[in-house]
Order: sequence, then C-alpha cells, then structure tokens
Amino acid sequence: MSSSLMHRLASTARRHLAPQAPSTTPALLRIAVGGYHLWHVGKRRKLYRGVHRTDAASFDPVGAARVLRRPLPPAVADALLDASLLTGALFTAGVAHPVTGPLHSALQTWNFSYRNSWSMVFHHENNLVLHTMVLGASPAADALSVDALRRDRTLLPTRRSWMYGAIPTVMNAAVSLTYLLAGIAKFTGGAGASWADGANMRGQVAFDALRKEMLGEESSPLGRALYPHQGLFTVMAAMSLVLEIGAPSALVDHRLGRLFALGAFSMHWGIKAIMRITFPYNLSGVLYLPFLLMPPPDPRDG
Amino acid sequence: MVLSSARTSVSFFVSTLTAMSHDAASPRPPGASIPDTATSRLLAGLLTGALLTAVALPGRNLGGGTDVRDSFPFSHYPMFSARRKSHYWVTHLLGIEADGTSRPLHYSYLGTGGLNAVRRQVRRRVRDGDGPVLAEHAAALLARRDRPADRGVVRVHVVRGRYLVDPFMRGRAREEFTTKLRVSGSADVPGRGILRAGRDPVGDTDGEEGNR
Repeated sequence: MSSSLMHRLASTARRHLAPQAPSTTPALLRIAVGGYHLWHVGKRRKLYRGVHRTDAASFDPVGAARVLRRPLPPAVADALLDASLLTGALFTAGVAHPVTGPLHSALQTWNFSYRNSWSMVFHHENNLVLHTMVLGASPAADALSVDALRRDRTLLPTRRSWMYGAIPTVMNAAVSLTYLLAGIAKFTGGAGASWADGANMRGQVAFDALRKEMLGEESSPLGRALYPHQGLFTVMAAMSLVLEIGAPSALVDHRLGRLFALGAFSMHWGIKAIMRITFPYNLSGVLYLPFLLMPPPDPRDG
Repeated sequence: MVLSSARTSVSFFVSTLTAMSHDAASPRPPGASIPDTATSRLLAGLLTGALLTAVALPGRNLGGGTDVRDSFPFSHYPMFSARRKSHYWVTHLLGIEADGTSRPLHYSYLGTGGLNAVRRQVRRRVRDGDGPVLAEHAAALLARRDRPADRGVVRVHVVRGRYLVDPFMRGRAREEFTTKLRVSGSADVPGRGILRAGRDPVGDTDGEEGNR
C-alpha cells in the first residue's frame, strides 16, 4: 500500500474515529458511568456481602481473581467492595482523576471478577468494566469535575481536542466487539447456521421459564404467550443476528452508531419482557450513551 | 478468521491513532490534563490496541463446546448459544405440605448470590453428595424465615428433576411434564406439623428415583 494512500486512509479514519470534541463529551460519560457504578454496587451491596460468605467449596476464581487459591476473608472482600464505592464517588466527581481513575477501574475489575468467581460468570457487568477502563485511563475529567474547577476555575472549559472525540470511539469499539463475539457464538454453539430459524431462541425462552419456575421464581407470561408462534422467534432471531454481527458498522458512521444503540437497547428490553433476564447496564441506557454522544466526523482536510 | 480480522482492525486502529501525530488538523488543546504529544498519542494507540485485543482474544474459544471456561471481563459470550433439547434437568427444592401436595420452593433457601449462581452451586453440591446437608439447611431456614406463603410446608426435598419443555410451556400439569425425579436429600421442617402417613408424593429415601 503506498504511503499516500495509507496517509489518506489514516486521515479519514482520524476524522471519523477521533473527531474534535469538547471536553464535556467524555466528562458526561464519566459522570454517567461512575454514577451507574454507585447505583449498581450500592443497590447490591447486601447481595455481594452474602456472596463473600458463600461456602468456599463454590469458589472457582475467574479473571483477576485467579491469583487467589482460596477466597478472601469476607471482611477483606467487603472492604474492597466499599472502597470501590469511595473511588467511584471520586471518579464521578472528577477528583484527582489521574490517580482515582485507574484506581477505581482496577478496584471495580477486581470486585466484579471476585463476585463472578462463585459458580456463575455473569455477563451484565463486562461492558461497565470496559467503559470504566477507558474513562479511567483517559482525560475524562477535564470538564464537569473538581479537577477542572481547581485548575481552570470553571466546570466548562472551552477546549476541544481529538482526544475527547476518541474516548467514545474506543468505548464503542470495545462494546461492538462484545456484541460481535456474542453473535458469532450463536453460530458456533452447536446449532450452527440453524440458530437463525429461531427454534434455538424459542428453546432458550422455554428453558429459562422452566428453571425459573422450578426454582420458585415467576416466569414471564409474555414468553408463554409467544411460545406457540414459531414465526415470531424466526424474526427475532434474524434481527438479533443482524444487530450483533453488524455491530462493528456502528463505528463507521455516528448515525449508524445511534441506530445500533436504539436496536440493541430495544433488544435488551425485549429480553427483559420475554425472559425476565435483566442486563441492568444495557437497560439503563448508559451503555449506549457513547454512541449518542459520538461527535460527527471532522470536515475533510484542505 | 475472527481473530485475524480482529487483529487487522486493531492494528489499523493503532496505526490510525499513531498516524495522527502527523496530522496537522489536531491542535494541541491548551491546559488539557494529558499533553497532546507524539508520545501520548502513541501510548493512547497502544493502550487502545491492547484493550481491543484483550476483548477480541476470547473469540478463540468459540466453537470449543461447553468445556471451555468463561472468564471476566474478557468473555466469549456463550449465553443463548447452546443447543437445546426437548427436556431439561433442574436441581431444586420441593416443599411438601401436610396433605401431600408439593410445589417448588424459592432458591434463596438453598444459597445466596442470585438464581443462576445458586442453581449452579446447588447442582455442584448435589453432585458432590451434599444433598442431605442442603435439605437440612433449607428446612432450618424455612422454619426461621417463616414466610406466610411457605407456612404449610412440613418437609423439603432436594431433587433433580427431568422435565419436558414443550408441555411445560403449554401449561400442562407438573405431573405431565415431569419424567424423572431423583431425591438427593430430605428433611422435616423443625416445629411444623407431621406429614400424614403415605402422603409424601416423592418419598424420603436419598437417591430414590421416580420414573414416569
């Protein structure tokens, strides 16, 4: 590839992936993601403390927690959990972000890895952790923060930079990859290409309803009502595959990104209605905020 | 194929961010917390590449069947992808009332951590022979919590049931979609009435299997 072509391609990619944006763009994302962490962990604090006291026989460490051979003493695990509430508050407020950003990200990754080390790896906190990693390691507190107030005497400095535009892009790229993997997993999970006919999805709905009821929970009446209509599941399976396999296209154009965000947001609310399975970060909409705040591409050079 | 395209995308992304150091359209923002220099751009590119590679790498586990261990936060997202059969085995708690009627009880009598976490913990513990211990624990908890809805329960069984999915979804009675019920632990609820003789539809012998 000639160097001028490479330069043109790189320049086009820069205009789309790292356009000039105000410092408030990543700042809003920091506040939303940090605020979500506080709500999510605060609401489940009692549940997590119960998990820390689960029988050690169920401990099967994943991710960062694999450095452990046995569970932490519950008091230590509780303290780390509470520490992430403190760092979460500092992260959200933008206090000493170059220190509290990475620290909060590390603590959050640790605590969720530890929580997932008890028999079941959940998938609803992955994107929250990825978002926090990006925001914690980037200049996401240059506005709407205590840091900005101290340095610039204003919450709304007027500076713009490609750095602020690149932050939502990296967040979106990570999220798009997770959707792509989930889409490919459906083809490689045993059903192959026949996953698209919806029978597997219909089976998932039925399995989930059955185990919920046998475990004393109520299943969704909507799932039961839709079950006899195979054709509906074919449509839903095809739509979810298009959305997941097509997720990377959301990076190409900010309008496509918004369309993907709307589709994925609706899909998770559909899962909630039909299966009563909750992906709280997705349902809150915070996951899709970087797609909505992605600035338009810069004008062409020259 | 997935990995190779992911690698290509990642390396293009890194080269794009790196190439920005030669792009005059990005003025240095005065006073930003991170200086906009060639070094910081390179570092941003490398960190981005590392993150996206870490997100994409679990893709190598796709197609590896159910034996592949999932991880966190970098997962291969196997949810909703497994092939489903016409029946399903569930390990759960069954409550028996004095008149012999039975019904599934809430999973929280068996453990903490949410439905799916408890479901997996219980399945493993029953496999390890802990069924009687789980039943004793659940019976004691049931008596202590004393929930109005469960006050009629006098005995609990930890069971592993084989259930037919289609009749269940079509609203048939439990006896019609239950094809096997293996009891791995039983316990009387302390302080509750005694089950009338011959009224327990499941039985109380550990390991007993009912076939239909």
